[in-house]
Amino acid sequence: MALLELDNVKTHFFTTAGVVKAVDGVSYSVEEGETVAVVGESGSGKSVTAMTILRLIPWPPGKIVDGKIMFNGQNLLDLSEDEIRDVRGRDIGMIFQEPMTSLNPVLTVGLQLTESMTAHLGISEDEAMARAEILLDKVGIAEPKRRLSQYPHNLSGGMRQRVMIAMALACDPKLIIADEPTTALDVTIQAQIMELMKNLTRELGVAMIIITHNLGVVARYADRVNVMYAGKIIESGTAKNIYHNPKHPYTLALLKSVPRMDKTRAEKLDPVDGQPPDLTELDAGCSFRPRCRYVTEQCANSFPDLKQVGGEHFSACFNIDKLKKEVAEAVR
Amino acid sequence: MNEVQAAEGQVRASGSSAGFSDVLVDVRGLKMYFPITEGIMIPKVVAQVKAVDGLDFKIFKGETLGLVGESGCGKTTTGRCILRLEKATAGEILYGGTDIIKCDREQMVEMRQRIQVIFQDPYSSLNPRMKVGDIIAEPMYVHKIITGEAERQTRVRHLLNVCGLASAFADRYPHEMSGGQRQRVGIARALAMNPEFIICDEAVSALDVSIQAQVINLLEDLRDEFNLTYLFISHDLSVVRHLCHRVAVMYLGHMVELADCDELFDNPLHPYTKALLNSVPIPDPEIEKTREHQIIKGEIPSPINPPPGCVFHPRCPIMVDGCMSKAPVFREVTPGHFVACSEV
Repeated sequence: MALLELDNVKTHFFTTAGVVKAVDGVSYSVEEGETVAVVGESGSGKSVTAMTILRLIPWPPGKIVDGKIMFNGQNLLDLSEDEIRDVRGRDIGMIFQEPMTSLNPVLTVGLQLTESMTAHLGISEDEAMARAEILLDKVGIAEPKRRLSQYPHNLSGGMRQRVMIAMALACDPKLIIADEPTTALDVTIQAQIMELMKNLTRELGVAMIIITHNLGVVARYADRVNVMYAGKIIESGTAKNIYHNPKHPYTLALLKSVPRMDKTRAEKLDPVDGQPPDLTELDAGCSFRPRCRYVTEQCANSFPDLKQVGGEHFSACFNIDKLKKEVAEAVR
Repeated sequence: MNEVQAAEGQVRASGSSAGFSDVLVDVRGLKMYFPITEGIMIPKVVAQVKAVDGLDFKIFKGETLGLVGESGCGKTTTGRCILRLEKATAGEILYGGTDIIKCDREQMVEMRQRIQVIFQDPYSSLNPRMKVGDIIAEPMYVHKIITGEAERQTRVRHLLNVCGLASAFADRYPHEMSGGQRQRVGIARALAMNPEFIICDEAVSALDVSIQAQVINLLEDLRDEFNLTYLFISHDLSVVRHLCHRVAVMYLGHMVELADCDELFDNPLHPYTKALLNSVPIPDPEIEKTREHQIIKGEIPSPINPPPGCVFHPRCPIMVDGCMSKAPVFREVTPGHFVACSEV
């Protein structure tokens, strides 16, 4: 049984402008110890999906309106407020994008690190501090003892993100959700942090969901990939399948939009025209169809189901056959 | 091989920087120090942030020079010095023979018609209270190049179209537009003066992948159509490789390497450039599997108190004793390929 299983999860925001279907029927699973990526552009619903798992959607205006989130054999959506608080930070750790804003500026690093341990593990503050020191050392922070009494502003961006990782790992979680963990960081620091996260999750056998828009990071670190567009997963599969044999026009377009650093420039980029749709104005048809080059009449009638198109490879598109030729050319 | 490729091949073989020979901007010994002061009534300079510390490079007419580096390396400050949004501490910036640093107010007004800038953040670089049409018309109004209101409006609409926006956008406000559309407005505004040189400061960094690709293509088309020269400041190495003819790498206020684009990416010489290229993940899981992931240690030191000798030595994998005391010379190792490292 999978560690985490999302089944037809829907999170909608009820705003004055209309109902924003930020997450609209998302299903995916995470096996124990594996790294799963959720990729997509701004507004595709990837972060809201993560917030939904931990039930961090503020009401009003947001509400999880449908679906099941099975974690460790229990449906997280059925838990009471107290019960879900036990899951947050203990069974599921979270790493946010902005290490500057996600740490409390007026509390010391030590206090923030130990807070979840004293709350969840029932250990004393001294024990927690000792453990925090070990954790900081583990995430590669020099002089951990001195750092414990410092404040976030004393640390660089990379170090703050290391502290965030230490916090996420503090209670031996089974799953870590990392929401754009390296987007705010420079490339050399990004590489350090991603490498650290990979090594720690492998060593401790922790599963991880990486939410990112960076296709390079996904290629380097993820076992499986879910591509999101306008609140839905439109393609999912192993990293190799997604990158070498994309079966959805949007995935293909994404791959053709990214310039390559490892190759001499051969031709101009070939991005899709237009921009992502307004999430309040979605109709029954495929949300990608206004930008799609393979659009047919069928696309306006209903949203295609996520169908299996190969071993461990699913795509939500009616016109997969039409894609084939272009894919052969695109996979360079 | 088509003609263009053949021509490019020849140029590369001749070693002259990607085929551009007329120098447009010649930066010599550029330094920009920001003072840190203490005391409110009588401020006393207690230290200096050496944001840019001795740069020498040229930008050729018609080329796109990429300027890459991590946060705080001084790439944006360099751009701002050329625009004279900062008054450089020392050095010369010769633009068509005139030193921008020494220009008086009148000369600067003339200069600013020839040099324009596109900023990173399309949200904060457009005045939220002005209509898009007025934003684009303002430089023409300020510089009095088109005085008739009707003519100006015609040109605004033309510029919008050139940048891929419908004329109707002239009557909208920035908040009614998406990030990509706003960035196009920023580009249209830069083009309003018919400039010959545009500094793109992280011009596509804030955009999503598919929108970013659209704007990259637009910048390319405009470059060809209006014979523009770009200084393309970016931290995104993939975009730089795609768009630039030559690339300069900066670290802590210094230029560590400068070469033709393919040469720099295929044959990097400076240990920092190597580390930087190695840190960038490539969107191909098969390549990533076989790639060596040598991660550079440590973080960028503070530019207030940069390391003595070579500024990169505390993180350098090939450091020798001499690096701690003697700053390396930025020298030409092969034609057109400059590097600042004593061990190369």
